[in-house]
Amino acid sequence: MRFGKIIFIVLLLSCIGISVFAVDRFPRPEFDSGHVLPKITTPGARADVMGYVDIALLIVALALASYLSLKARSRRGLRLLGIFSLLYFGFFRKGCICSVGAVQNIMLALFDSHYAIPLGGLAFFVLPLVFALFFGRAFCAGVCPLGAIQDVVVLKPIRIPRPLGLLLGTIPYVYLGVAVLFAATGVGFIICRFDPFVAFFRFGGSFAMLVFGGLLLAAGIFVARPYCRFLCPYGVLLGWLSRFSKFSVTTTPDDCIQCRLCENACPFDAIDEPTPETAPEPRAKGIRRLAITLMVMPICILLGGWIGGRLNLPLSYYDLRVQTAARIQQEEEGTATGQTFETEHFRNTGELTNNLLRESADRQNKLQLGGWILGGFIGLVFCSRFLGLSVRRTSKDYGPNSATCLSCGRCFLSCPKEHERLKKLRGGGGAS
Amino acid sequence: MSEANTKKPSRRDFNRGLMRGAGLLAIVGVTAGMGRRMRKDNTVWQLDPDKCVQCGRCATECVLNPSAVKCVHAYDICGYCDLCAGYHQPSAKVTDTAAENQLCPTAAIKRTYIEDPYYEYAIEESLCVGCGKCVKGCGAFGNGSLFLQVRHDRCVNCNDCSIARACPANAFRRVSAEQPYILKGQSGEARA
Amino acid sequence: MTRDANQNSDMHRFLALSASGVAGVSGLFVLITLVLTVATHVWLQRIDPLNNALLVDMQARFANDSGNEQLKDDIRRLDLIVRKEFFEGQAQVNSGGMLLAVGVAVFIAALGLLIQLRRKAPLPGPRGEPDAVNARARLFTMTGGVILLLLGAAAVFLSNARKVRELESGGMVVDQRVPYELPSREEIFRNWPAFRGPHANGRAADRDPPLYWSGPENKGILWKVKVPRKGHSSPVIWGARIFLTGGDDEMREVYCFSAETGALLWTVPEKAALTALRAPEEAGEEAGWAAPSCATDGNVVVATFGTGNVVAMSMEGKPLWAKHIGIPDNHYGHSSSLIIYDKIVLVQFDDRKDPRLLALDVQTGELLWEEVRDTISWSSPIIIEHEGKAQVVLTDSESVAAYSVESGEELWREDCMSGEMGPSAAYANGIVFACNDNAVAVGIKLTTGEDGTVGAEILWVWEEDLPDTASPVATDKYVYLAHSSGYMTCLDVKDGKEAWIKEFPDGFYGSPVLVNDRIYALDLDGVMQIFSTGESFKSLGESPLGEACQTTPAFINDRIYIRGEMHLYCIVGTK
Repeated sequence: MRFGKIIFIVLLLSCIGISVFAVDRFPRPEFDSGHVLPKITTPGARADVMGYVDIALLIVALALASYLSLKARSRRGLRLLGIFSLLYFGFFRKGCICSVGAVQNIMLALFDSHYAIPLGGLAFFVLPLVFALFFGRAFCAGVCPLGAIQDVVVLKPIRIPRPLGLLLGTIPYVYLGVAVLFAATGVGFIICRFDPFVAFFRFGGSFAMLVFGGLLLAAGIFVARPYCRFLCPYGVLLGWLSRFSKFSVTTTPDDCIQCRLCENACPFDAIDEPTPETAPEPRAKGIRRLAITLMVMPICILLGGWIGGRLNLPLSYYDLRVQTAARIQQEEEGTATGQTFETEHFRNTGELTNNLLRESADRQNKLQLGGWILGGFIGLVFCSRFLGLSVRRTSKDYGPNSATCLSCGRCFLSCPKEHERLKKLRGGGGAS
Repeated sequence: MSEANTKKPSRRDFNRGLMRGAGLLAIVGVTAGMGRRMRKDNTVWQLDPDKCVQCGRCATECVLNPSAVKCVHAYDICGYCDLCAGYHQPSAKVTDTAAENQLCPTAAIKRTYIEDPYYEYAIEESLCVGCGKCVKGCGAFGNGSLFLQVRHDRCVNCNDCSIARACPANAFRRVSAEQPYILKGQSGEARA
Repeated sequence: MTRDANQNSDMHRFLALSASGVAGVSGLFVLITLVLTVATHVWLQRIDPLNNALLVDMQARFANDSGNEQLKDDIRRLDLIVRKEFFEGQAQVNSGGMLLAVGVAVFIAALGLLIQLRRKAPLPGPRGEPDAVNARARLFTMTGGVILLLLGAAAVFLSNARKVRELESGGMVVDQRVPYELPSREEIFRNWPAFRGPHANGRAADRDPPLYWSGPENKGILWKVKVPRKGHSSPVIWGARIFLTGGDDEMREVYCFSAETGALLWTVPEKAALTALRAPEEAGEEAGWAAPSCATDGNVVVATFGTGNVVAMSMEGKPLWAKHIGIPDNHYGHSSSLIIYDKIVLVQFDDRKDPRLLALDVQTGELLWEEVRDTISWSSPIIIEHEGKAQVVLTDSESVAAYSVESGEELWREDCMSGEMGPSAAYANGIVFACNDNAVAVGIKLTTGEDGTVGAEILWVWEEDLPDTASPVATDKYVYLAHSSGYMTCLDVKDGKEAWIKEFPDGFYGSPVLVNDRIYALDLDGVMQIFSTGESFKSLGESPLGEACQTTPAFINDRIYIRGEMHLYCIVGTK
């Protein structure tokens, strides 16, 4: 009897073709046997208190990394801290949320009034930056799980030519710019999606990302921490701030004796050499180049902005909803036949087509404005790079560049003065 | 170690201090600006069963394998039918548990006889892959008591949920970690 | 412990040897595990029970050939194999990943140790030339920048990404338009096309509704039907059809009942016309999902809900168009009813965030004009025809204002209100009346300047206890205010002086209606208080419905239609 009813309903539905909703087609049973209905189980999400534990651990790890890199000058301590961070923030916490991606949550919260950022996201974004402002990139030294997983595979670092390194070093700026644009316009979080190591932390992920991560790690044996140096968008912010940090890591615990033993100690090419005695290029030539660069700069920025603004349409297609909207519009206009997976299922939702179209058009418009800013920003980055390379800086000693130094402590033991210090420490019995 | 740093402050040091102040100000500014936009509770991802169109992507797009999305059953709106459109193949002629009559590709639904003519259907979560085939059947021909949910004992709560990105119905959203489910049935009615 | 001493010791040699051994073994292990895991992964994709081609094919064949026992057995066997291999394969991939992680860790540790042991003392090379390096770096940077620029330009010109635009049809199916015939003024006034009747003014003429009935005794009730879903919207009637809305968290619907028999003729769900499912989390508790009444002009029925969707359908219940205006940010819930005038649907969308008055084309839903408003309200628009021009008059929590129906231009405005505005305006003989609890009641006289511009001036103000929900109704002589506390106040339209005040046993949410020379006021308990419009209060009847009521009744010919909490009634009365 029930069977006939179903067939009837099937026929009815196929006749009117109305999409269906939860409705009482069948009466709820009344059990004579006193059967008790089971309950839906709802295993809870991670308790909020664990979020505070994360923040506390982050603070402790940052403080420890600062202490180990500036005061204790212990490479071994930093390495152990890195392994702890890799295990906790990486494998245990499955890499989410991390400071590297948190910048996107900040941008989304700034521009989308419907999104409120959890306390953890804000703390993970802000705390490493504050530490960078005072103690250098302690976060990179032993707190970031992405850095830590690469740090353990730095086995046979080779030196890549500095001009190439500097050029590759501009990629993070572009990456940061695009990530901020996408996050601010609500298109998506690309830093998270293209995080090469998070798939390892979760023991699962898309095949392509696992391969990408594996290749980066394999390359990382020779090219030390390639993600940190040539991709990491958060590193840009950390670099900006650590440039002005109150305390910076030094290779030598004392005055530099110009022994040049630390010259190759840094696998990240972050040790600056003293300016040689050789005569600089003619002053007039330098000034002329500076003047030309300054004149060309606005043109570069405008050109970048002009192209960036026009990139809004291709960029908007990263958002599957925009792609769906564009396709639906083609279908409605009759310029495309048939339906794609997305348009077919979108039509099942019963959502107004124009809602989707309006939302997508709005997103494209936002991307246009954002694209202008992004393009201009990239133009500015390249010009400033060029400008920075045109100015001859004078430094007398060997020492880490406070912007690019990852505070890993590898150079400490290359300095003869450090050995002296350690000897004194051991002999003198704990002078501070 | 600080001997080198205790020399008289040069102009360079002064500039660095100034920039540091500016950096601090920027960080404080961002933090303060976030103050209004901040929430104390954490957020997790959940899918709204009312928006879900059972496209099947929950099973394939999750970073986990098998997916963190599973079918759950709101028993209180289930009709306990003998022929269940969520359990049986549309073409099934016999209402039994044989493989050729079952809809679920992983046999994750357990059918139990309660009393004439009622049968109870329960989801074996370790087998469920979240494909939503049963949800579609139950929604189209039954009471709609089967529906998909992100199970938070499995979900790793990615910052950028890859199913949310691919969902054609825009059914995923961030919800409070304190109320991490959007349920149907009595427990769901209580929320509204 | 210098490195030289270290390198020569036996310990050192032993360490180096074992490290290279461990590295070699673990490296081999990693390689084998990697290959196996990847192979299993690829194979898993292929046997996936969700899309196993063979199984799907066999199921399809079995559906047409259900007697085939052989096929049945094959399906059972294959099903088991596929599922078993799927889950075992998954377990293998997962444990393979774990093994890989351990293997890689051991490999790296051993290799690290080996390299550490073989490390030589650093030897400084020749000094670099910073100027030369900088010059090359400048060249690299410039080249990189140019390449990036070219890549960007190529992406711009090669991409076939489209600019998305809204469809002019509003996302509806265009050919669903119905034949349209503009109703005459006479037709409008014979029917009950909106909340509070023709022009939403609470006045009806040429009708002879009954005075006596009793719901509890089932006397004078022609029929009574249950309305499927709840709602505070009032009945709207055209010809022999009654239109109502109802809704809950699950579904919002428009109903059409037969005025003759009470039979439910059709139901159109809100989402039927491609309507957005996007909705607020919950409806305001006071208003519910379906507080706004619908409106009709004899061709199209338009309804709106607490979801911010406006949906239109034909008189036969065929969905025509739908429009999402925005999720109302409204703490009691959206409750403003619709009205149609001359092919224009007017939507008073006064929410907290983005208050607006919208004019939509009744046939297409196209937005004709939109006026930004200042503040929230729960009242509904009324139409007045003054000096041959139609105005739509709105009340809100700050003001009473009128707009041109044609263009949306603000014609006049009096900032005389405060509080949370529930009552709509009323109009009689050149005077607009408005009132609100904790504010004032006002009479506003419409004026016309020498150049023909329309204006208004406040005639009088009356400050006493006032209604917060029910709208006023006016004759040419008196205006009647029905309080939710049960008071009924009658004021003189010329000077606002009170003519009389009467206290009834129950309060009024539904608005009083003027029919010929009688006022019908339905109280919260469902009792209709009927009195004459004379100088002093004179009761003409007091008829109970037997069901609580928050709606405004509709009057057609000699019948009254009332929506109670649960039911819709048709009242013919007893002699």
